[in-house]
Amino acid sequence: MGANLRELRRKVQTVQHIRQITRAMKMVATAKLQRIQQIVQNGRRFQEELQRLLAHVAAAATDVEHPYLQTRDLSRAGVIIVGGDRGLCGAFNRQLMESALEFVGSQPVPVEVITVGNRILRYAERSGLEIVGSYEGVERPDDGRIAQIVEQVRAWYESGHVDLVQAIYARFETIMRHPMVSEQLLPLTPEALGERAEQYVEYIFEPAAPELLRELLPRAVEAEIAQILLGTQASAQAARMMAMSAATDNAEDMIVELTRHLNRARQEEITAELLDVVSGARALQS
Amino acid sequence: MPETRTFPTRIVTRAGELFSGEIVGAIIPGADGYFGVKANHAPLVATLGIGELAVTMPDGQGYYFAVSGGVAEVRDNEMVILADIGERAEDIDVTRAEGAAERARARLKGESEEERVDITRVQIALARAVNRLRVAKHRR
Repeated sequence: MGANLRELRRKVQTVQHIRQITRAMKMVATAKLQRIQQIVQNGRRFQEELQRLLAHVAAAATDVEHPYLQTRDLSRAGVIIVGGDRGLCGAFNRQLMESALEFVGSQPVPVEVITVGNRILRYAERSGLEIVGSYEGVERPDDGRIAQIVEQVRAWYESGHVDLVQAIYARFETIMRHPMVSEQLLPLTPEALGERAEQYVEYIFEPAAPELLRELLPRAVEAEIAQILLGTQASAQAARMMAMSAATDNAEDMIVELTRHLNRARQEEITAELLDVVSGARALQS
Repeated sequence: MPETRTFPTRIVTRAGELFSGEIVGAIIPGADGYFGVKANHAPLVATLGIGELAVTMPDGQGYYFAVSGGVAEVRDNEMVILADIGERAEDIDVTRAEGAAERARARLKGESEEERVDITRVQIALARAVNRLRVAKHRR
């Protein structure tokens, strides 16, 4: 009896500690999310303006040949998998990895992989993928790693080593919505170029449209990659916030349940002791 | 009579919006030299170099920005400037820019093979730092 009571008390304490930790982690994730959410929104505006502009220039320079606009015969594909550095964010990283493996499996040619995020690197190694580059996650828009990653992706594709680059990441839409996305990064797709039927504007181009387009295309790729990196980081924090929130709720439920058991056990113990005393007294009397 | 016709202008970088408002004119550091934009300018798309971007407000006040690379677009009497790097004069870290300029100058003087490899990069870094210091003089 006494042992049971002690054990229950210890269990309640343990769960209380867990709750403290998950609650703290939730708060940290919320704070980080708030900071990065603003960054992602700013970046999205920039990207939208750039895409709009690119569409205008592309409409005026339709005959321009650029490697980013040409679909090549596929002999090797590249995929950049962007995820989180840490766990405790539910199924976030695992889902990304499943999405990546699905893409790799669907390719008829050899696939090389660049990973962003320590968790993704570990999963990718375990899955036996051919990793040609790995980076930690990026939280700030002025992080030098963004330029490094952009550089590696561009060289990868421009050198002809891979003929296609796919990006697998978690697009940050809202705190509750951050779907896994698998999209083609290079060559640029018509959607990425924003080829909408807009009215044609007679611009003065400085320099001329073809050259301008060559200046803008790498910028568009860079903006897209930066947005993917930062957006996924925001998604990871949002996923962690939700996971830790659920864990805190679970801990609370468990504490209530365990406390009820504890009270009952204590009451039983007291009743048993009382019975002992009473029956002992009665035995003496008779 | 002072120029009073205004047009909406936004200056945006990946890190955020630097400016948004009605202005009467702007001097823009194009890749091939500075040019001016006033109300009712013809539609234009131009790349930016490293330099000082100045906008004039209806009350005659000026705002100054250090920019490096990017594009400017004028369309329907509206201007959008997308800068690769851009800072308000007030936000420039002068100490950091001075340090960067000094390091770049020391590198350019460097004799060893190794130090000369990235000469263009160092020159760009120097141009950016000098530009920042110049624009920072406009801070209020």
